[in-house]
Amino acid sequence: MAFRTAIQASHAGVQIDGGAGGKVLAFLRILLYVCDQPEERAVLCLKAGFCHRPCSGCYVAAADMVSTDALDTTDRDAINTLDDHLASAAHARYHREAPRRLLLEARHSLNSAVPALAAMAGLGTAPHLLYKMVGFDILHVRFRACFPPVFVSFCSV
Amino acid sequence: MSAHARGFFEDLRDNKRSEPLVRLRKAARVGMFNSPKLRELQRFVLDATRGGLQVAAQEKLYTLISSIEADAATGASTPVNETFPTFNSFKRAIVDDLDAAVLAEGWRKATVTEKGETYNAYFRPVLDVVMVLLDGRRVVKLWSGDEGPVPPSDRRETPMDGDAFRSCEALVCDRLGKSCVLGLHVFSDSTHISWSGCMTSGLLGRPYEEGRGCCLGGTWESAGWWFRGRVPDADLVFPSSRRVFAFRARFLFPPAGSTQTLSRSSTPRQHRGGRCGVVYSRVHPDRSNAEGGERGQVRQAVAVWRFAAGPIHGFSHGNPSQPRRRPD
Repeated sequence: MAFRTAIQASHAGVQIDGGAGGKVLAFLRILLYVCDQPEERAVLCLKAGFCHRPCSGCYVAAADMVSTDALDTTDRDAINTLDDHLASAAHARYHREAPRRLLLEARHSLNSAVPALAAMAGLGTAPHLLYKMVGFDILHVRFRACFPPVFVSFCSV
Repeated sequence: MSAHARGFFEDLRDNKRSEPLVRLRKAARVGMFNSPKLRELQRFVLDATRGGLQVAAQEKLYTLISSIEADAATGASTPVNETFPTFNSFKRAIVDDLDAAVLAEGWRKATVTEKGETYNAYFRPVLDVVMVLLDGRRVVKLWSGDEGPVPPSDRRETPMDGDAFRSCEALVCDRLGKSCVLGLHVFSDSTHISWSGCMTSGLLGRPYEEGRGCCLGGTWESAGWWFRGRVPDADLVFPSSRRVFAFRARFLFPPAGSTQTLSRSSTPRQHRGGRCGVVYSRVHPDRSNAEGGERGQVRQAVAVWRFAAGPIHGFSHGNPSQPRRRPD
């Protein structure tokens, strides 16, 4: 609800005073969303915790997360993922096609709910930044996951 | 799909059910604290003991002031007794002014039902907040270039000036008429809880791309996530204990103090080895920079000590000599 008018303005624009340039139509875009990892998964309506595809930005499998295979993983396609997401949410809402819904959830590791920010222009529409907008709160992740093993050994010594 | 998602939430009609957070009572007398002395008194009542004085304490204060002023010569200002003949009028005047302030800020409340659970949501529309932020600005740089968008490059002037902004700008400016992008950086509540104190060590590169161990091959740069130096900006924190979001609206304002363009490569590994500022800046008005810096240093020291003391839970070095089992 807080973003309702902002979503409208992201599609239709809002008049602002551009100073010497006169009135300008401004279109709101969310470029960065800083949060911790659980909130990221909640905002994007993806499964949290242990799931098959734990990365919000790409399709890397959980088993490949710490290997070089992760480098070759494809990014999450916003169009296809959102399409399946909306279909899954519709199945859940109208209590229909449970097997299909489970399949969609497993394919993308998503929850059957609609991510509200997908309605925002620029995230759900071109350039489709929905799965690229999240930046982590640095203190939540820096000392837990992003230290390379070499540095771990160095610190232990 | 964007319209589909939007329509889904419009169908819920939560916004139709929302209402102003407070309602002024009938015959509310707003603005009774109309002299410097009375305004100071009101500020004390609202600021004292963090959340303001309790009603019982307000009554004691009123009795005290009334008794003091009863005998004293008043001078130029109106006596409290004259403005507020009873404690009730005094108490209601404070409540009325508070309600009027909440209404003026545009706070709303709504009851949201999700899977049978009912929640009370308190919010301010993002667009209103952004417009208020924008109103106070004299100089607004509307585009990445002087007269319009500039072609894509790897040179960055401000945190907002990232690939995400450039790509959105290119699409928006293709439309007819004069258009620009109003970029938003959203900081969630968790960001405030683990406040870093403005600075942190940049030894290990970008947490998003390297921390996951799965995005190293990507060429995308998250807009404004990593930049050198700390740039003053316009921050806003909702004045409520139920703070949900703090919006950092930058709108491509020219950075104060320096107009030098910062060079930035798209290769994350080139950022290693330096000490970099992060996106955080001071948002709590009562917290000084020095205090935040000290707190950040202490947190870093504690975190490094914990990290060095033992292995990381769930982290495996792996053994390249053994074939790794792939998922089915």
